[in-house]
Amino acid sequence: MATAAASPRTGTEPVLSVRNLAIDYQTRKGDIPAVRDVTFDLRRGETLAIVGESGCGKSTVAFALIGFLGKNGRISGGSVEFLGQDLTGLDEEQLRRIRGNNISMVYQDPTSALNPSLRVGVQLAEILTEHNEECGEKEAYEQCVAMLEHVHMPDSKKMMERYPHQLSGGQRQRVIIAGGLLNHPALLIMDEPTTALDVTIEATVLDLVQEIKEKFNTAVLFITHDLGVVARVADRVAVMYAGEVVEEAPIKELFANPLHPYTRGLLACIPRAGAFKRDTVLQSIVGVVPPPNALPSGCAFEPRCPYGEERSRDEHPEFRPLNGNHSVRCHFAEEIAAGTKSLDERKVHIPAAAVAEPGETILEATDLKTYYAQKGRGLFGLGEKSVVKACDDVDFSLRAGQTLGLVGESGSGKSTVAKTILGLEPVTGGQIEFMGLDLKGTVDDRASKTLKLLQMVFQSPDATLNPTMKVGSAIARTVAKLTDTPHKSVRGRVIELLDSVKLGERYYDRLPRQLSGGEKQRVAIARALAGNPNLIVADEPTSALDVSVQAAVLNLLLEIQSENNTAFILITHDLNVVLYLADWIAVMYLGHIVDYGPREAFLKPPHHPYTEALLSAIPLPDPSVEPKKVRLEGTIPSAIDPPKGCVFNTRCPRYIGDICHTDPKIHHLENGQMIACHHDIEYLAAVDPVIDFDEVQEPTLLVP
Amino acid sequence: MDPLRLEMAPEQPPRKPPVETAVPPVPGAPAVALPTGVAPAASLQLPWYKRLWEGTIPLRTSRVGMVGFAIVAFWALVAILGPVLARYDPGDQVVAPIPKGATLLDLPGGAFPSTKPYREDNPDTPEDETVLGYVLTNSGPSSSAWLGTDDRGRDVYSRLVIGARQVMVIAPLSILIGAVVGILLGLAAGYYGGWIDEILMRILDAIIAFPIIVVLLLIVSSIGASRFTVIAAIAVASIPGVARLARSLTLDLRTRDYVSAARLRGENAMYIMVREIFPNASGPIIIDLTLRVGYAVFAIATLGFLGLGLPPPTPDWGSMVAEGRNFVTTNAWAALFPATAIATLVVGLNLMADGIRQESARYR
Repeated sequence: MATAAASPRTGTEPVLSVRNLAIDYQTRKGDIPAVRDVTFDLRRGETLAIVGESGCGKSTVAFALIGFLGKNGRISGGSVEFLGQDLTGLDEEQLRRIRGNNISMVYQDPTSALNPSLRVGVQLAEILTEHNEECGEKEAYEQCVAMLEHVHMPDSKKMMERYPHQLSGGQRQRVIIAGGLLNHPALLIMDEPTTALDVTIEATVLDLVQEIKEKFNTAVLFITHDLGVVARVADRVAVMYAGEVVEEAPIKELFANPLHPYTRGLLACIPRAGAFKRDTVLQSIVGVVPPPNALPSGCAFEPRCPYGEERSRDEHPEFRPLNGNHSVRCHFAEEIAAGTKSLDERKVHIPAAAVAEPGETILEATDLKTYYAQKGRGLFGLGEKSVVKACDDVDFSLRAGQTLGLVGESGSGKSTVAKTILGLEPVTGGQIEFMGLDLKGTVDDRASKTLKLLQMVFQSPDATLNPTMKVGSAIARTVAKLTDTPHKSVRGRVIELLDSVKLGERYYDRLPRQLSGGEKQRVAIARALAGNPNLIVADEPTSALDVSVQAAVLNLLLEIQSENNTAFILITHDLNVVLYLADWIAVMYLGHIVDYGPREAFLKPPHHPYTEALLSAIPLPDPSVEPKKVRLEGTIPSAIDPPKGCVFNTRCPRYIGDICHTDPKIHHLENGQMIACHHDIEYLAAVDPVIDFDEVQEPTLLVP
Repeated sequence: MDPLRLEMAPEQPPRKPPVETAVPPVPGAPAVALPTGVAPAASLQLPWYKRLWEGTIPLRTSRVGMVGFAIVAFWALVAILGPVLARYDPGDQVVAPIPKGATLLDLPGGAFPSTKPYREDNPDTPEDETVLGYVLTNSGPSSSAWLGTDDRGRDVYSRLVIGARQVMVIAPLSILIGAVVGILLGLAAGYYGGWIDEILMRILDAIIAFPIIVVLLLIVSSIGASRFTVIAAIAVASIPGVARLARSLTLDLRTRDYVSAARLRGENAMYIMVREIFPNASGPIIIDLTLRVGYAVFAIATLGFLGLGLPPPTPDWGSMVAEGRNFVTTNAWAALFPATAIATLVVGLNLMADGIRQESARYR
């Protein structure tokens, strides 16, 4: 949700003025320019978001502002003026006085930012007493409690006495934000503060960032890679590529009218809210981000730019303002704005629209239960055992050629469902029927005939390949184990698979550490395809990847689906991606499926209250759409002791009363939707829709 | 998280490698020469010996490691060239001629007459058989005995050099045996978990509960002291430590996705342990083993010192220290030189292990 571009209390003097900032890292092989030319201004009460993919230098800029560049980093050019003072010339002691006092920083991982051996109150009070000599203990305590109230921490007095490990991730991040605000800094830098948090908690933290900006009139520098988060939180956006700012504009202007080809590419490859694979495609840009020690002379984006020309290779474009508040670093910005610049279509990857006809039902899960028994607390592990009900009474079915999206936050049990179907975890109760076979037992009991039909693509590209095995050998081994391919033709088959994921023969002998994240994930997909599976389970396949790589991988999955009629189970927390890719969606909470149905059913009510909260929490990459605000209190309860009855009753915004402590009614609608809730369907159908999908802007595609 | 990563300097901001962002051009389109991935490192398609050389990078780039390696290499060279470098047989006595007219009482203390024949490399030995010689005992460094002699008149230098052979063979060998058994047990305990893990670990806990010297003594004194028993004792004493390390690495690695991927293609447990888990655990294990060789050197010396090592007259650094201990007040050299040799070798191995560990954390 975006606020007006200028808050009424915005001052005229910029708090932070960065001009042509350049930062180098000194390595054994010479200086690497991590940041080459960054220029921006930041005023009080304003949020500037710096957006870019990995390696563009955005975090480096943040570290440079507070002098945390490390031994081998140094500011090699430009100036940083903070409240009139040049930060580049200051020594460590002077910087130390500014840090935590006038400039505060909030990092990505809230767990490692707090000292686990000190109470929260002690850590917060320390921030005050360190910087203000007159501030006594009692006064510091009171100010901390007041600040915790400002960040909506429930029961702030008790929180002061707790240790960090007793807090949840969202609460820890709030503590850190509170700590950052204690000295009323002029500038608050936030480096990906919500990446490690669940979607619903992220939404509450982003609301908080909006609020504090207004309450305390702080300037906020928000660094992220997520364009949805940017749309919700920022007033202005600066897009960085290869160490330079390539475009800067107010938020609505940037999304409505992106001028730099890179920004246009980024916006074209994220699925807009409500987009569906049958209607639109994700257009991605070809090529790779150049490494900082091998930057092209001239325009850094030229090798990948569909508008590039001779001129872009020779001349390095200047960062110049276009219409008032919109600045671009591109030779052809005016022509692109007018729509008169011609496009080289070879530099845009336009996938064919995915059309896969649904076939017969290949997977059916009935009353699936997966419980993990914990060791009892007595001696030798005897004594009463507690049970983690990771997955409880799950029902769904899947047809060939279709995609089932399993959505849920951490602790919802979606990964457990995947592992159980694949056989990595044993089934505790219920039944899974796959291609007519009853899947019991674990992977070790299954024949290779069954194994090859059911494969998985894992979440983390770094852990998905054995670092000591060559890419070709890994795939070859899979081919050899799962199929009857004769020994001589294995290599040929591996190369076929590498081609199908657009990698090619020269990747055969590479080791995983020579590949990028996207390449590793594609190798993993090639490996999963080795036996021509009927069902591929993809567990968050793209959450660790950059936005444009994500688009390429998703396109690849769609292509595989339409060519081989493979069924997919896509597990993710990103509702945006699910609404784009999935034919059927199941929403999971604490091991139960609470909402299940065809994709269209999720575009309008009736929804399960949890689905409503999820829809409201997705950061939509569209600042003009404002979803209805539905926020959840608290955190997901423990799976060892789940709430009785409807498991959502501790956080449900539509909580009725005692009836919620009994098992919920299951509603079956005609379109196939299933909702587990005590409310009547008429009530749920009558609520306002969370997102008006008709309001969503059409994306500016690269190739219309 | 890779335990080695914890050693990285904390102030370094995260330097992420550039990530590839999209797909190569649409197939069928005219080839546009676009790089689609990180430039390949030179280690593609290299022959095995070059890759092995690359594998030693963590050692070669560390100054500390190279100092340690130099020391160890020095002793290895000494061990190899042993018989060439030694001046005397380790059991031989160093003889000097009794000067004309001197009697036994005029000789240095502790000397006793010798009937040894002339030795070419000791020009002092009387050529003429009628001239009597005396055994040079407990003497300091001199031209006939470069590092002095012990209380039996044997040349410390030669015994040191030949003794190096014993140490440089027995220490690595015993650790190797202990490592093979320990790694297998650790992999099995870590991978299977459950009862196998409990039983194996409790047995190994029992061994580790005793101080290592006691374990060594128990084994050696019960089956008698010989080269074989020393090797066996040290191997058994090192098994629990190696097994524990292998087990904890396995517990971490078995949760990795590539292990799940291996299970999903029907690999059996043995393959997974040997081919998926072990190669990724080898780094920390190798460092640990290098350190353990140092401990083994020390253990051999200790056993020798206690008289339970290699049987005399095999020159063993530990027993040399033990014998020389009694005469430290008159002739410290006989104990000092072997003790220094032990110390330098152990320090060298430790430095090597340190160096490898520091550099492999940075290299990754």
